[in-house]
Amino acid sequence: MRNNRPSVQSLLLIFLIAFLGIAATQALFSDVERSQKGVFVVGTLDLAVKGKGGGAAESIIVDNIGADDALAGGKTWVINNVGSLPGKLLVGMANLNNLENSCNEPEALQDQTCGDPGENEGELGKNVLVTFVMRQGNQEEALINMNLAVGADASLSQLWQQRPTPIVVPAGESLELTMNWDTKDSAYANEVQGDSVTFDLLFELEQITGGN
Amino acid sequence: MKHEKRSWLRIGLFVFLLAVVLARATDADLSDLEILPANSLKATTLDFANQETATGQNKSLLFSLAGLIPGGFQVESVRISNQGKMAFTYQTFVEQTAGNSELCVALNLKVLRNWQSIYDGPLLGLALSSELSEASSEDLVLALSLPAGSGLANNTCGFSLKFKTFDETGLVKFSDEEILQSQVSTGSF
Repeated sequence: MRNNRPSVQSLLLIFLIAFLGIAATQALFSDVERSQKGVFVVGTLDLAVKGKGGGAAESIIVDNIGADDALAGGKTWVINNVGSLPGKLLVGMANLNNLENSCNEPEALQDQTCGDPGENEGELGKNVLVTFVMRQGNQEEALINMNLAVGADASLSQLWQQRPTPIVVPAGESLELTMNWDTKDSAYANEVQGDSVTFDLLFELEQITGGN
Repeated sequence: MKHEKRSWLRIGLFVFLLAVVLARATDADLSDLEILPANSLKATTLDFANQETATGQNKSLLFSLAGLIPGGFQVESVRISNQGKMAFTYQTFVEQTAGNSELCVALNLKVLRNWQSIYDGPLLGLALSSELSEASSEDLVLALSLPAGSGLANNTCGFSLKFKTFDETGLVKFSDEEILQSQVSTGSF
């Protein structure tokens, strides 16, 4: 029967080699400096949204969609990361409401819903194509295409979260974000007259953790 | 006994890893939120109405004339009122709806817009266009006559005077149309 127990000589040899290895690599000189004012500082994440010219950010307000000079448009905002940490930009939408705002005669001939305000009875939102475009330095990218139909506010957040690569705003830097709206290619008629779509836009800068 | 110790070790390791994963998933990150409220996109409106010039009431009938004689005429008026929020261009034309085409062809129409003569010719040849700005209106005075010497006794002519918006650019998708009905008959002469 074979003896699997290590011999005493082998163990002694291992200890000896380990001792020599430690001794050979030990730093003989050492020095210690102790900081008396060591402070841990938590970074800041601070988002500022401005208008393109640096003024206060303005909401999109258009009240004559359908006229030949009001079929498309857009608004640009500057997203500033004024904190000390890089952040991931998320854009969302809330309180989206498609309003009917009653019907005039031409609309009533085509539209079966004529509530006033007629919450979510309006037909304008589904005929408005929205595109978000980002400009960061020389880079320009169309990010999301969607319409403003009922439920689009939830869709925007999902679409933004599903982007394969996050949009990172480094500390102290900024990017331009444009929301374009377009009705030229939509097949609408009098059922849209006087309808409106209202919504809040949410801009969020989120701390980057663990590589995402 | 030895196996039992290993099991407890595995359970302990699993609990530890689970705690690490949950802590990673529920950690508090920094974030900042800015809200841009009350964005609003609203469609304009395109709407006009035919109204009585005297009362402002909506109008759907224009001429209702029985016993018209050669050389006779009748005068009517209508106010075209822009009730929408955008300017528009509209066309005016006539379509026969009933009766004898001979009488409809023989009838003559004279049109004054805001007291200026803009048409004087055959009823069925009427073709006008006009632009109406926001919150404005214009008055049309129309004189329908049967020229002297016409031998069309006991004939009738029903026709529609149509007002229809149009857009030369093809970009505006809103439209409106209003119709005034008329019925004319000649007597025995």
